[in-house]
Order: sequence, then structure tokens, then C-alpha cells
Amino acid sequence: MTDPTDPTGSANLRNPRDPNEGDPADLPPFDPSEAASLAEEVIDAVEGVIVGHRDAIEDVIVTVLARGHLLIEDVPGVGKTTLAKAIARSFDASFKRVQFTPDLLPSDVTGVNVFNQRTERFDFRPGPVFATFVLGDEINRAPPKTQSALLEAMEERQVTTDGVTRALPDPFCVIATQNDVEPGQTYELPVAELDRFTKKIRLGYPGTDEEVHMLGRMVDDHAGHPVEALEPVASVEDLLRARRTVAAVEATESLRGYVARIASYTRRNATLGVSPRGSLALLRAAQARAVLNGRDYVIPDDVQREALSVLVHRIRVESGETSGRQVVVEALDRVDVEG
Amino acid sequence: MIGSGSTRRHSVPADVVHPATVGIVAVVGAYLHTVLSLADIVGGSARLVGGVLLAVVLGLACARLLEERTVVWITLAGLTLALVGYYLAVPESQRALFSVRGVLFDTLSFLTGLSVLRLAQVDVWLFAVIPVMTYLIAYLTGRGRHVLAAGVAGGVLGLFVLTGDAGQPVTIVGVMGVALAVGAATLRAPGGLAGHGDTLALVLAVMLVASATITVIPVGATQAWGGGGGTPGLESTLIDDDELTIVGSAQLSPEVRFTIESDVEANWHTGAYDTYTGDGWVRSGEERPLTGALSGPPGEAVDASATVVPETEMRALPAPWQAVEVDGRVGESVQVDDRGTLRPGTELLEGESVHVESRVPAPDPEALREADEEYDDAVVDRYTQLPESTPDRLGERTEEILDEAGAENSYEAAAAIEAYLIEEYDYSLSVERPDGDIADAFLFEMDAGYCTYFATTMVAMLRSQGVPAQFVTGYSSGEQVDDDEWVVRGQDAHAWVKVYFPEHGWVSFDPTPSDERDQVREVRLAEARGSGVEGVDTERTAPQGGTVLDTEEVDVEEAPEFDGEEGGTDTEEAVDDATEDVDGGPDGDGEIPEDALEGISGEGPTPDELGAEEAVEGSAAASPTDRLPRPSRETLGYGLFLLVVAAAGAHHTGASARLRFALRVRLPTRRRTPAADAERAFTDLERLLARRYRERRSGETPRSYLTALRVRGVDDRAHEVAAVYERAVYAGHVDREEADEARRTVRRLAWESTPILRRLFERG
Repeated sequence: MTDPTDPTGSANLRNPRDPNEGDPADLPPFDPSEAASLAEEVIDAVEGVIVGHRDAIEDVIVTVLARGHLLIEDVPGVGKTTLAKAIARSFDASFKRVQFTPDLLPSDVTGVNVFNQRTERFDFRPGPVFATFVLGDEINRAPPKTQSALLEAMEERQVTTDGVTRALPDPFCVIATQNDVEPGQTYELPVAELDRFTKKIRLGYPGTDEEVHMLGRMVDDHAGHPVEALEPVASVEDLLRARRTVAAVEATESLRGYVARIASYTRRNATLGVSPRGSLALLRAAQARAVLNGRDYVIPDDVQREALSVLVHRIRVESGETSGRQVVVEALDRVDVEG
Repeated sequence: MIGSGSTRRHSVPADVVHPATVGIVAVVGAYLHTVLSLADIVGGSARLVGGVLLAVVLGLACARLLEERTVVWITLAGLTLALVGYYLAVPESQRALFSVRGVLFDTLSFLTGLSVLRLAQVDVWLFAVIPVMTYLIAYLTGRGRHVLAAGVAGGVLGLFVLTGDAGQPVTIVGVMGVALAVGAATLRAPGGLAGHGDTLALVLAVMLVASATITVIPVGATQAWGGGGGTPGLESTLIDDDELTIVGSAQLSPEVRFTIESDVEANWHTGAYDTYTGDGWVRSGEERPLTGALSGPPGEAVDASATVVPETEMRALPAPWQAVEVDGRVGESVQVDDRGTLRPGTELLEGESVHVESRVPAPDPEALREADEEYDDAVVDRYTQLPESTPDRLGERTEEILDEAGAENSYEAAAAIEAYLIEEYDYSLSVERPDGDIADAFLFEMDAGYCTYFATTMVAMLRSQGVPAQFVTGYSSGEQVDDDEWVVRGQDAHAWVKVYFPEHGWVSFDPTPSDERDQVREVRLAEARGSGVEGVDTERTAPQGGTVLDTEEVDVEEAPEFDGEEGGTDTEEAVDDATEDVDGGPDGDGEIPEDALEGISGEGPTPDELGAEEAVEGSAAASPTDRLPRPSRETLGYGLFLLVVAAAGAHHTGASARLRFALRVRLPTRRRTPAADAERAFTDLERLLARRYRERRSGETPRSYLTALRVRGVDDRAHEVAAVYERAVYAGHVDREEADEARRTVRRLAWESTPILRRLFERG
């Protein structure tokens, strides 16, 4: 069910943008250092709301900059929604949340045509997917058909309803969560669909100190949740420019070879290894990571930093053998950095 | 393996046409070359060639028809037959000498360098053994058993290598042949030759180049090593060796060898040689222990007794010909060889007195003229032997000489040749050893030489006329110190000729011009005395009053080292030139005689031939100071060889790589592109750190490596180098300055990690 009470979401509900309009041939990229300091500002701002998850915030930023989508696998109540919302607010971008349930229909996600009696025409009422940041909560509770509606939108960046194709906003970023506490009542995402998420992370519980800090803030504050008070520190245009910066980051042949060797290692050592889409995602994430570090070129350290969160969920191993995580750890350990 | 042949009978032609066959042919060619050059000396080469060809055809034919087991038996039977045949061919007198112990001992001596020419009836032995082995090799090749064939061929060649009959080039060809055969046979698998042929070729090339340029054993066995640098002593080339190789220039040693008390004055005989090889002499046949006195020469002879007192250890027993009995310790072990020469079984010790009884032939020349010329066949066979390759012109010239002298019998022939040689040729110790047949070369191309050349030539000339003659070595009588006592020095070593007369035995002739020879020896002795050399005199020979060497009397023409390698034929001219230079040169008078003395004295570190030659040239160029002794080519080659071995060893153990790295990392080197320099800087840094801490692991990035080492003391400078490296490799651009700075940093880090120099760089 969509969440119409979300004030941020409704405030930003504008007409869906034509992807070509404002897309950014005319938007100049930032310098890497500018982009880095912008990212730093966003991270600082978000960290002011979510205590103790700087790594996760960086992961989100990297995903956003790498033009990807993020899957967070975790227990409820650790701040997934708050994180997504805070990111969206920092960029002054629209935000929608979809709570996936077993009876959720695809049109509940993508939107429906409603007959307008006054104009005697069908008007399209966009679904929650028409937002810059979309939070798909507990995506594994919805039936596969509904899941795939979202996943198609993620990949195609457009939605087709009753024969009309509508482009989704740009930037467009899905942050989906799935919980692994009630496996009996879930539809597990097939690998092919998992592959569309650039990264899969876990938030994890905050440390005790951080939790004490967080609790203190929430108790003291009478003005509501601090995320409501978050002021945007960057615009959507800034985000687009930063993405262009990332896309321009140098990845030399030597480095591309490293990425390819890692992918090939996983293919040799797992039932299902990393797809070419996976290695492309790794390279893009590494580019974003390089920008986050103020560099306009990727180094192997960037690749290694991203490899686990980008690759692990794409790998299937026979049960009883090593886990996908172990395969990636081994790859990082054994694959030569230089060819 | 044996007996598996039936399955491959179809592939026989393919087995012969195979690269490995080339190698086998090379080895067979190598030993055949050796065998034929031996057959050339002892005769029977045509017979041998026929036998070998037949063996090859038979072997290839058998490869198609017979099982391997059969052929092994055939070969064994053939060898046995051949050896039995050889045994029967050896004269009966010698057959008695065959014993198990004797054969074993002989085999051992042959395998340690005695030429097979020392075997009696070598030609029969070769004809018996070689075709059988060649048959086996041909059969194995035809069978496709290339490695085995190469092994057998290599074994045959190896025998001749060990006996010293196969020269270095032949050995190289043979070894390369074996390598080629084994390599090609190993690479027989499809595509093997195409894949590894280049490696095989490289290995062969290295073998060839290395063996052609490096001499591991600097001198031959018959040449004394040391002494006068490149010039062997005359004595060492003459006295007591079963094989005698004629060399070029020789020097004289003035040291006293022995004193001899004798009833008669004579040349003191030590040994004789029968087989002429074209470039030297070989004693063939066995020795046997002396039991009872020899009968002495058949003709009229006088008894003489002599007492030899060696001043140094000696292996030969000098005595008047013919010694028939030896007393005392030496007498117990004395051996007698085929030519009736007595040879001590042990060394004569310094100061030991050895008493020898001799019967000295005293034939009347008239009797010799009248002597019967019906020679014994065995004597003719053995003592008119000449290499088959001896040019005909030797015999023709000899005939002319004899005609001119009107010689009608053996004695007159010998006398005529002796007179001719004394008359026509000069005495000189410095000659260039000619190529090819020594006698022929001396007779036609040279105009001076020393006793070895004169005697060799005279023997060859006599033999060409069918007169039995042998080459004799020993000492000339020496300095007479009493009525019946002589002091003999190394420089008295001599070679002469003995001619056989039935009923009279062996009669000596000496074709060497004795006046000139005496003169050279006197000069040599005087100089040795003048420069205070020890061991030159006994109490009896010390000259009355100090001998003052008068350099004016030193005839430069006879100073042996002067003309060096100018060549035998124009020796005189060259020396004359040198003399003129000496006389006419502004500073020649002062320098050259000294050089001459130095060159002549032959004691201690004498400048060798090259040095002496340089001295002459140096004086002509008026720069006599530039005269450093140059090491001989062999020494240089040997040094080079050691260097290569050391380098290879260092390479193998990684020492050279470490040294190279240690130097490279510390010294500024040529710059390349900035990116390459930056990469090199980091590679060097990595190696430095690897040695000091640990290597970078496979999955470790430069950064994580340095970060991990930071706790162990790697500082920021290393990180800077890594950052430059990252830019070079992953950003694709790096500044010249950055790269240079990185390399400077690494050099500095390297110096700081150098154990002692580290202190210079420590900060604070």
C-alpha cells in the first residue's frame, strides 16, 4: 500500500519529468573534489539523523552515484525508512514508500488510469514508483508478479500502463528492504532479479553508545522526528552533475582487467558466478567510491571496498559448500591486483 | 625393449630419414675421421674404408631382416672374432706379453691418454673393431633406436677421446652429434621438433660457441705447463714420454740434470720411437721386465760401464747405447721395451748412483757399407713406416740428394742425408711449428730448426728409401769435467737417428749441426751463470774466475725468443731487422741487450714469446717501457670460462639478480617514460620492503600493503611512491617530476636500508 500520509512524498509529487527535459547534456560535471565534498555534506547531514551508520550512508550514496538500486536486508526497526527518507530530503528530491504485502497488485506500484467524469477521460494516477527515491519495504512479502513490476521499472526506468509508456524521474533510485525473520511468509527474490540491485547491504544494530545517543535525541526532541527538520544540502541537479562526474572517472585497462579477473574467479568457484551485469555494477560502484574519495580514477582499493556489497548477492553456491561471501573474500585474497 | 622390433618393421625407412640420423652420422663421422687419420699413419686405410662401408650396408640391411636380440649376438660374436684375429696377427714374441693383469693395466693407460698408436699392429686392431661397431650403429639407426645408436657411436668416439687420438674439433663435432641425435629423437612426438626445435638449436649453438672459444685444459699433455710461459723447454719435449709431439719454439734449461762417469763419450741414450705420426712420434709395443743381461748389439761392440748420478729426480735412464744391465735398486724394476731400451720402473732419486753396463757398437764404416741389406720383414714393417699422407716429393727429393752424393747403400745414404741436413739447414730453437707433415715442411719450407726437426726429417727421408730407421732421444755428452766424467744439463737434451744394419744392429747418426748447437748452449749457460741462476753448476763445473757476460758476443741471431712467431722461413730476416733496429735505435743499445738476457734466461717469471716479441717491437717504436707481461690466450680463455661459470652459478643462485637489483635500486639510471619510471620506482620499493618485511600478497593492493606495513615502520614516503604508482597505472597520467621524485625517494629509502651507510641518512 502506498503511504499517502507521507508529507514529504506528497509535497514532492510533481508531474513526472520527461527524461530528456533537464537531463543533462547541459549540466557540467563537478570536479571530483567538489563532488566529494558535496557527498561529504550529504553524508554529514544524514548522519545527523541516523546515528552510527556512516558506512551504510556511504553505501547508499555510492549506489545513487553509480546509478543503481540498493537492497537492504535486515530486521525491522533499524532505520531503513529513515535512512531512505533522509537521503531524499538531503537532495531535496521526491520520496515514496511502498509497503509490499501479499495482496499488493502491480498497479498499486506503477499507477492506474482513473476515469474522470468531468472531462470524460481516463486520467493517469501515477503510482508510488514515480518518485526520485522509492522505498520498497519488505519487498519479499509481495507475490512475484508485483515484485517484477517494480524490478522492471528499476531496470527500464519507465512504466507501461494500458499501452502508454511513461518515463520515470531521473534520477530514479529504489531502496528495497527485505527481512529474513519470517521466511515462511515470503517470496524469495530470484537471482535474476537480485542481480538488478547494485548493492545489497545490512544496516545492523547500532552500537550501545550510538543507541544511547539516538535515544536521547529522540526523547528530547518535541518537534517530531529529526528527519523532518533536515534541510536539503544539495539539489537534484547537483546529484545529476555528481553522477556525470562518476561516469567520467578513469578506469584503466589494468583495473578493468582486475574486475574481470574477480568476476571470472567467482564463475570458476561457484555454481552461479557474477554476471557481466555484476562486473559492470562493480566497476560503477568503484567509480563512485573513487569520487567519494576525491579521485578521478579508480584504484584496486575501490574495487575491493565495493566487491562484497556488490557481488555477494549475485552468487549462488551449492548448499553445504562455502557461502557466496566466502567466494568473494577468496577472490579478493587470491586474484592478483596487477595482471 | 629388445625383441619389440617386429612391430615396427614397417617404419624402417622413416626411421633412417630422421633428424636424429644427422646427429648419429656426425658422431660416426667424427670417430671415423680419427680412425682414418690413425690408419693414415699405420697404413691400411683403404681396407678400413671398405670394411666400414660394408658394415653400414650390412647394418641397414639387417635392420629390415633381423631381430635386435640376434644382432646383439652377431655383434658380440663379431667383436670376439675380431679380437681373436688381432691376437693372432700380433707377432708371437709379443703375444707372450698378454696377461689379464697386463691387459687391464694397458686398458687403463690407454683410457688415460695413451694413443692407440702404442698398440702393436694398430692397423689390424682398427680393421677388426671399427667395422663391427659401425655395423651395430647402422643397424640401430635403421631400427629407429637413435638414442642407443648415438650412445654406441659416442662410446666409440669417447674411447678415442680418452686415448687422446681424437682432437678437440672432432670431439666437439661428436658431442654435438650425440646431443642432436638424442634431442631430435626425444622430440620425435608430433609437433615436438616444431615446438622445441629452436631450444635444441640454441643448446647446440651454445655448445659449439662455448667449446670453440673456451679451452678448459690449457695445454696438451705433452707440453709442459708453465716453465717459460708459452715456450716449452726442449728437454721436456724430448725426454721420456711414450708420445712425443713436435712443438714450435723451445727453450733451454741450463740446470744440471745428472753427472755421468763413463768409459766412453757418447750421446746418452734414453729412448727411441718407431711410429711417425706426421706431427710427432709414438712408441708402440709392450715393455717387459728385464731378466738377466741383454745380449747387446749383434755386431762388434765394446763393453762400457757407466755410473749415473742424477742431480734431480729423473724418469729416464741415460746411458751409452746399448745398455744391457742395471745394478742396484733401479735394476730390480728396470723394464726393456721392443727397441731394447732400458727404462727404469721407478724414478731415479737425486744423488742416487746408478751403475749401468753397456755394449757400445763399434762398427767399421767399411763393414757397414758392405752390410747385407736383407732386412727382416718385421723390422721393415715397423721401421719404414710413414703416414700414408706423406707427400711423394719427400721421397723424390731424397732420391735426388742420394743420386747427387752417389750413395749406393744404406750407410752411404744415411751419411749423405746427414751431411745434407747439416750443410743446408741452420740451427734455431725458435721456429714456428708448421702445419701438416713436419719432415716434409722442414725439408721444403723451413731453413732452420732444432734437433727434433733434423732427426725427424732424416728418419722420414731414410724410410722413404726403405731404410729402417728410428728416432732417438737422450742427452748429448755434456760438459766434460774429467777424463771419464761429464756433467749433463737440461739444455743438452737431444734427438738423433739410428739406422738399422743387419748383423750390426742400430747405428747412430746425428744430422744436427753441432757447432751451431754448441754455440747456442754455451751462450745460454754463460747467461745463466751471469744472472746467478742456481743449479747451473756442480762443484766440478764452476768456471774459473767470474764469468763476465759480454753482451757483444751474444749473437742475437741465436737468441731463441727474439723472432717469436715471425715464421720459420723468414726467421733470419726478421732477426736481422730486429738487430738493425737495436743497433740503429737511439736508445736501443741500453735496452735491448737486457731484454735479450731476460728473454733468454728462462728462469722465474720469464716474459713469454709474446712478451719478447713485443719487446722487439717496442724498441722499434721507441717506447720500451710499455712492456707489461700479457697473459696467454689460454689463460684468458680459462679466465673467461671461470667467469662464465661463476656468472651462471650466480645467476642460478639468484645472487646476480640480487646484486643487480641492489645496484639498480641505489643508483640513478636512465629515465624512460614517466609512467614506466613510476612503476619501476614502486617495483623497487616493493622488493626493498619484501626483503625487509614481507612480500605483497596476491590480492593485496599497494595501499593495503603499505598500510599493513605501517605499524612496522614504513613511513609516508613509501605511500607517496605508491600514490605516484597508482596515478601512473590507474589514472593513466603521471608527471615527469612526480616520477623522478618517486625514484629519488626509493633510492633514498634503499640507501637508508643499507647496513652501514644507513647512518649517513639517519635524520637527527
